[in-house]
Amino acid sequence: MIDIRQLLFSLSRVLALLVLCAAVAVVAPAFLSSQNLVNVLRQASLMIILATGLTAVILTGGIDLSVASLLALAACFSGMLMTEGIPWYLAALAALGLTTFCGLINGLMIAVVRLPAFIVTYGMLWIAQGFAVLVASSEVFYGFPPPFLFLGRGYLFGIPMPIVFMTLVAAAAWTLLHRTPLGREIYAMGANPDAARLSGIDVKTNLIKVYTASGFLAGLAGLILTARMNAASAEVSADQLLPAVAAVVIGGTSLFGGEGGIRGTVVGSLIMTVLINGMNLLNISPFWQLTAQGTVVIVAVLLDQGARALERRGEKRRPKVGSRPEASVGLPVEPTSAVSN
Amino acid sequence: MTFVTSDKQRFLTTLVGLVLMVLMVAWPTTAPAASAADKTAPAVKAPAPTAGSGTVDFKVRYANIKGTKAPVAEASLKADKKYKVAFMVKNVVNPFWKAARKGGDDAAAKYGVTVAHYAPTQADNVPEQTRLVEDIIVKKDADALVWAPVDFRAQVALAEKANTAKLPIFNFNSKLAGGEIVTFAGTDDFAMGKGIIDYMQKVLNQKGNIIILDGVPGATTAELRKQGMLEELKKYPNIKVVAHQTANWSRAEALRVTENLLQSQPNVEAIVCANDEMALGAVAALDSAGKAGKVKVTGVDSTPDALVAVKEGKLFASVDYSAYVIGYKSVEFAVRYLNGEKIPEQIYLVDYRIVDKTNVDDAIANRKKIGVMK
Repeated sequence: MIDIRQLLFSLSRVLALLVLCAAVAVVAPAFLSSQNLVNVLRQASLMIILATGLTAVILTGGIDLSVASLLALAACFSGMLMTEGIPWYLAALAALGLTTFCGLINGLMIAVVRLPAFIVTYGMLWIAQGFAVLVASSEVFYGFPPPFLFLGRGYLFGIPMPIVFMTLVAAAAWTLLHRTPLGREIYAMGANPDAARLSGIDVKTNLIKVYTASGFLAGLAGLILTARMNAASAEVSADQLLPAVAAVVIGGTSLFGGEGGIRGTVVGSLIMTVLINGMNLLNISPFWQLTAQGTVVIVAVLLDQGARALERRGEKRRPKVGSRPEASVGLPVEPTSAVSN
Repeated sequence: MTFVTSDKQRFLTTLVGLVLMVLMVAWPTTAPAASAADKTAPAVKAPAPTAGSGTVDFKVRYANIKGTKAPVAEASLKADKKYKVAFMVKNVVNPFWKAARKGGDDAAAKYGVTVAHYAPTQADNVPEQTRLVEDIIVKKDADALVWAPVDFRAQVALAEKANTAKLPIFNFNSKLAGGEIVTFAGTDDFAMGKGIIDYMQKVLNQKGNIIILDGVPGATTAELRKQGMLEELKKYPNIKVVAHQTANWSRAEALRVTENLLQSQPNVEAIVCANDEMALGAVAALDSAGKAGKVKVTGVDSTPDALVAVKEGKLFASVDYSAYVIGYKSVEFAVRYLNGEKIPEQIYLVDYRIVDKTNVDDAIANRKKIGVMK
């Protein structure tokens, strides 16, 4: 039987998004035009692609600070190769390969050498940014071939390509996280690393996979952005990392790992994008825009923590059998409340 | 109040969040955005620019040049010693600064000095540029500092530090609001802002809706260009600024901002941007909306790809003022000063001109000649 309250709660973030949309639509009627909605989705696409990789990483209890720099590296590297006359598909593959490799290095350093994820990916942030600057050497690469531009500007059955990519990425990630053993292991690793290891999960390999995927997705986002702008420079990394992390967190994924999911991240990204879109439509001064974004992040996390604390209190009073991972020592558990939002 | 189920509580807390979010979006609109910004301004900005008059209150002092030697002709100028010149720009990503550095390098090669290049790794980062300059001061690593400050007000204290350490400052592109400098080389950004609007009013027949995209708040160039534009716009009441936002000099940000603005302002005729990176971001947004070439976008800097875009008819115009020349001149002034010469002019302003379809070939040829465009 469907519990109405459970259903309402699982939709609470979606409701938050809808109320936000309604509020923006009231003050800025242009918001609801189909063109603008497509526009919002297209802008959210990059953030969702970056945030999807981050979600998987954060679910394991880690963090990937290098995604924005890897995005810039993919942009500059593919831009340079195309400017040198390399066919666009080879350039794109090479750039994807490079960022995937950087992700692999992240994973190896974290899983095998056992350095903290924060330090490794922070180092990679600067290494990748440095390479991007080196590759670009203060140039802006521009004027790419039309088939490449199609990746960012084209339409497939009337749907803008960034949205197509975003949908594919989010769907694949959702399937992977919720319908495969790997996905369950990722949740288990985040919820209780020791229990996960003791129960025979190959923690090392999984960590490497997750960081490698994050590197790949950052590269993909870089290619799409390059194609959208028809230009590549090292500057594109600015203001990409923290909004993506914020989207994951607003979406309900715990920074301590083990709780959350892709659906929440998609909604979180949309909340961030709608907020910015609405403020642009209303011509709100940049000071307020930054303040509003920051406040939303804090309020969202505050609410989430408050809700979790209340939930734990509620459970003490009215324990539900099998509703918490402890009930079966972490494995293989479909985390209930966390996945549902 | 007692809670029965945890779900209900979570639901309630989320609802409270909704209300807060809605308040945040709706509230600033109760007052016009501009006045909201004005109210916050005194709290965050120290000396506000004199509004209306259109000039920033520059309290910068020019060094009393004690040089006795008469200036020699440029052709025969040679450094007496192999001076070390520190060349500090705002970032390593904008081609504008690359052209400036090329100017500095060429001057250094010609006059026989060495130039060391510095820039913050994070574009336009004030604390990082400040640290770099402090390092130069502490290590006594240079005989002269050629410097484009990121924030002309916040870095006055840094200029004073250099003054105390007797490191002569050759300020370029973005004039400091205080401290003591030997020379300033740049362009008159206020006049340029006015010039852009004067050009556009002719193109638009003195009427129409325009969007303005500003640079990083706190940069002299951004501030003065904006003020110049607004001053000149007073003469043309039928040109309406329907949106005025910053895109922080950034192409990616201008792409997003323009996409959003085009939704609420579909009938805009021109987008006036304070640099070319933002202008090209706006062009990309128009491109994906199928409006490229229909909305007249203008930028500043005449970077290589901006010139190509002008040639292709995607960018309507770009203001050209030579980063190369102001970089070159700053190093030349440093050599003259260190040689003990009297410097003929302490303020050196390069002219600006507007490059559009009629003269873009000439501008491209010019760029190729000095080697900043392939």
